[in-house]
This record gives sequence, C-alpha cells and structure tokens, in this order.
Amino acid sequence: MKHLIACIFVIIGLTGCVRTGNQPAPEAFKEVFFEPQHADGFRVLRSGSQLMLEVYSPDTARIVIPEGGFQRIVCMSSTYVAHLEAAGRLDRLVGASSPQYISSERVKEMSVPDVGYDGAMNYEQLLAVKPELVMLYGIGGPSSIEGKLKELDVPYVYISDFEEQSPLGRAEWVVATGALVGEDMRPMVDSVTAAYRPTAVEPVNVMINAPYSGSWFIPGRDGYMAQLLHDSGARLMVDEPEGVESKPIDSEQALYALSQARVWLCPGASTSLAELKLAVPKARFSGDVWNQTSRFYEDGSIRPDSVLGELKMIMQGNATADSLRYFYRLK
Amino acid sequence: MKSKLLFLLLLLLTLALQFAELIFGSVSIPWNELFLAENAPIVIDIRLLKMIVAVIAGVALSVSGLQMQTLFSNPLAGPYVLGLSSGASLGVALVLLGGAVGPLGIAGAALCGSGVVMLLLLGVNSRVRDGMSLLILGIMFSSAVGAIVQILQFLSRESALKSYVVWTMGSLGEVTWPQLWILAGIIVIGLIIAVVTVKDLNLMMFGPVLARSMGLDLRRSRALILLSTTLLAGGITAFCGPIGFIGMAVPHIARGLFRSADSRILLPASALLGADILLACDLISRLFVLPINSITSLVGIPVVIYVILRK
Repeated sequence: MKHLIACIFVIIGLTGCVRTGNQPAPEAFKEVFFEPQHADGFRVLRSGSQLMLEVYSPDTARIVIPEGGFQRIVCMSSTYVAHLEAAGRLDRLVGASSPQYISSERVKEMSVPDVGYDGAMNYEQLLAVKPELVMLYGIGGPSSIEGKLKELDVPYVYISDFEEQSPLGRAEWVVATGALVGEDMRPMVDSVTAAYRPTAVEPVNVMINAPYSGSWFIPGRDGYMAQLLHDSGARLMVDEPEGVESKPIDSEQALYALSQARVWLCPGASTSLAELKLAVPKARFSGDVWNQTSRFYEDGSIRPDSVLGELKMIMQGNATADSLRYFYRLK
Repeated sequence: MKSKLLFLLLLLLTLALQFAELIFGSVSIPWNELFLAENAPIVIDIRLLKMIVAVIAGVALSVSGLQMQTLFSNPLAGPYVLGLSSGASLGVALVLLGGAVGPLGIAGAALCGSGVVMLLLLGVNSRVRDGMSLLILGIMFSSAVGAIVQILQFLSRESALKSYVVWTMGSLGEVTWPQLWILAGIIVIGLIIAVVTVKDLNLMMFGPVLARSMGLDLRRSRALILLSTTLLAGGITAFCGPIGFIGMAVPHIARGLFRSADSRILLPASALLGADILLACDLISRLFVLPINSITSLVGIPVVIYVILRK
C-alpha cells in the first residue's frame, strides 16, 4: 500500500512537470497578435516570439503556446480536425472523437485512435496517446469531461467556434487553432473575408429544415444559418424568429411556405427524394432540394466564402453538379 | 448453510470481477505490470475508480430496488418508480437544455432534482395512509417532470439535446476521486438507513394492517425508506446518470438464488449481486463500446419477463 501511494505521488510530481521551458507568465503577453473582427470568443496575444490564446467561453482561460505549437493534439470535434488540416498540421493529431465520421480522406488513412465522446469517453485511449492538448467544447457550460481531464492532468482548451453566429466570426477561429499548432492562419482569414461577398441579386424563395414531431424549426434571424441564407440571396418564406435560437412553427404554416418556395434546403436526415416523401408525406414541392454534406460542419465553418459560393449557385439554379463540396441535390 | 456458501461464492465472484476490471481495458497492460508507476494513471485513475463506482452503484441500486419492491408489494417496482430519476433528469435538463448555470454542475443539479422529488414524496407520505396512493402520486410526479423535460428537449439546440441524451445513457467513467468521496458518503448514509429499516421491510410484507398490529409505525418506516432510496438511487443518478433495470432485476435474482423472502438475507444478497452484475455489465460495455444502460437493459429485461410469466 505504501509503495502504491509513493507511486501515485511520483506520478503526480512528474505530471506536474508540463513542457513549459522558460515560457513567459500570462501577464507578459500584452501585444495583440490577432484581434477578431467578427468573432467574440477569443484573441491571440504575443510576447516576443511566443503566443498566448485567450478564450472567453465557458470561462476566461489563457493558454501559453510553446514554441512551434503543441505537438500532440486530441480533437473532440470534427471541426477542429478540419482546422488542423487547413493549417497543414494533421501530423499533430493523435486522437479524435469518433474519427470514423470525419470526411477527410487523409484522416481516414491515418487511422486516428478513437477517444470516445462526451458521456462515453475512453480515458484509457486518451492517456495512451499522450496528448499535450485536448481541444474540446462545452454546451451551456463546461464539458462533462473537464473534471476528469483535470484529475488526469491532461491540458485542454475550449474551442467555442460554434457559438459564433457570424460566418466570418466562425472562420476566424482558425487563427486560434492555427496558433496552437504554430501556424499563422491570418492570411487565410484575410483571403476568406475578402472572398466572402453577399449577393445583391433578386432574392429566391427558400424553405429550410423538415418537421420534427409535428413542428418545423426555423433558424433565428441573427443565427449562423440565417446569415448565410440572407447573404446567398435566399428569402425564407416564413418570418424568422428574433435572436439566434431556432424556434418551432406549426406544420401547416411551414407546408404552405414550402409550397411557395423554389428551393428546399437541409430537409433533415433524408438523403433522397423517396426518403423525403416518406418523412414529409404532406409536402407539396416541385423545386430543387439540397441537403448539407458532413463537410459543411467540418471545413465549411472555416470556408464560409466557399459555402456562400455554393449557396449562391443553388439559389440561382446554376449549380455545377448535383454533388458539391458542402451540399448535394436530393434525387 | 446454503446461504453462507452462496454468500461466499458471490464474494469470490466479486473479487474476480474486480480483478478483471483492473486487467481489461482499451490499453493492454499485462497483469504483472498493473502496478508499475507508468501505468498508474490508467490503472488507478480510470480502472480502479470505475470499478469502485460500479460496485457502489450496483449495491445502491439493488438495495433501493429491494426497498421499493417490498414497500409497494410490487415485483416490478424499481428505485426510479417514484420519480427520482425524473427529478434528476429535470435538474440536468435545466442545466444542459435550459441554459441554467450554477456552481454545482450536472451532478449537483441532478441531486437537487432528486431532492425536490423526495421532499414532495415525504410531504405526501405524511398525508396518505397507504403505499398505493404514494406510488400513484409518485408516478404522477414522474410523468409531470418528464413532460417538462420533453418541452425543454423540444426547444433546445441539437448539440444540447445530444449532450442530454448521452447523459441519459448513463456512464460509470466520469466520476472523479473527489466526487467519489461525496458519492460514497451519500451511499453509506443511505445504506445505514436501509440496514436500520430492514426489519421494517419484513413486517411490511405481511401487509399494513398486520404490520401496524405488530407495532410498526408505517408512516415513519415509509419516510425512512423513502429517504434511503432517495440517497441511494438519487446519489447514483446524480453522478452516473440513470442506470436502468439493475434495481428492478437484481432483487428477483437474489430471491431466486437464496430462495428466501427474508429482507435480512435479501438485502446483503441483492447488494453483492448488484455489484457483481454491474461489474459484469461494465466489462461487457467496455468490450463492445456500448453505453452501460444498453447492457443493463439486456440483462434486466429477461428477468422482468420471467417474473411476469411466472406470475
């Protein structure tokens, strides 16, 4: 028993020696490396050649980034994997949550270990990959795995890009994740921002989503999806609710709006018109139906310019193919 | 004599399953390297901790299930029949789905939810004569709370909904050492009350009239048993999520094995069996990477069917 306790203390002592080297204290980071123009959830500060990421959700936290960035990263969301891929740093990925669902062919080839997901974390696998950093998210507060990560002395950082409602704000988070792996992603954000051009043509009537338990959810006017739709020239055939949250409307109202629309976007889980007919048998619609691919949630968040480009093509009826990168036509 | 032998066998089985919990996992560690310093984070902070949680949860849920089945003379009663799980779910739903932020976190919210239901039940208990009324009111509380949770689910974001649904699947692996001490404290108090009221359970089996004539203060006994069940089932639900069927099925397995209706035998028997079964379920859930609730349901449902068919 005494040997066991001694082992525990040795382990605790060793794990206290995190790779910090001679890193400056957080207070020394006064120069702003990147101040987002559209995002609210973070900024990156500099002290000499070193960077520090400051995030504000769920609580304010600062993480000093070692020279060259973190070498072994675990991503709890497929979006973060897309960030690493955009930064050219997939080699830093040593574990992910449910990697079998990640679209990237490169990630599939890497056979990244699965560390589980919220509520069913495989902590053994997590420790086995020896992560220097875990990128995670929290819904309505801290993640349920935070307590265990603290206990196991595994460093983590919250990447709350999904809380940004502005498409460009979400894209700006690639600067944060890029900094964590030692890459400067500011040029990419500048080019994406310059390429993101809301359309000025005549709006196209659109309906979105599909019913759930008799109610049809419509995105909030100030939400991420609503902004993308507006910028692409879409006009939702129902009044959008105030704020950012989706709100339900009655099926009757929704089906009438659908009958007036020319494009039907994101109709739930249906992948074909036959499935859609079974799922929404009362729908009367003869226009184009387009659904999101999984890439919409992955690199789509950091390429809103490309997403907008595809949405514009869909709205104008001149999509180059039935299967685009972020959307596909139901047939 | 037979009972003593059975208890010994169950104890040995418990030890074997506990050892298996330490041996088997995602990372292959030979048994003779289990206690090397480099493996300590996995063996101690993950496997050992989970093993202890599984034992505590199995004991607590089984004992509270036995209490509920005896209290209501209903073989299909379980620790959640009075809405403790629903109360805990409401607390968690308010945090995850409703955006209620507080210092206690999910476990604290779940405990508060169960506690509110318990207070309601204790209040009702002082006003009703028989257990059936209490059972019906408990089911009504459960339904009402469930309806509120459904509304919250309906109005929440997809990501929040997924977090809540994952919580309802239960997990033995999220408890930390500091939380374990809190959980253990709650369960110990619940078990002490359960042991103190074990003779009351035996008297209750004769029915309320005969029990009263033998000097049992029914209201007091019911209140203590309710308190014990809330601590046992509510405590486990708060830290591990709702884990179904163990509380309902294990007392029946204990009755079948020990061929006894004496709560003085069934209580420790259910406790040991509950620990064994939950340890086994956890091993299976790790092997197939499935939520623990799926496995406990697959174990518990055949037992419930057997009980119904036997009647």
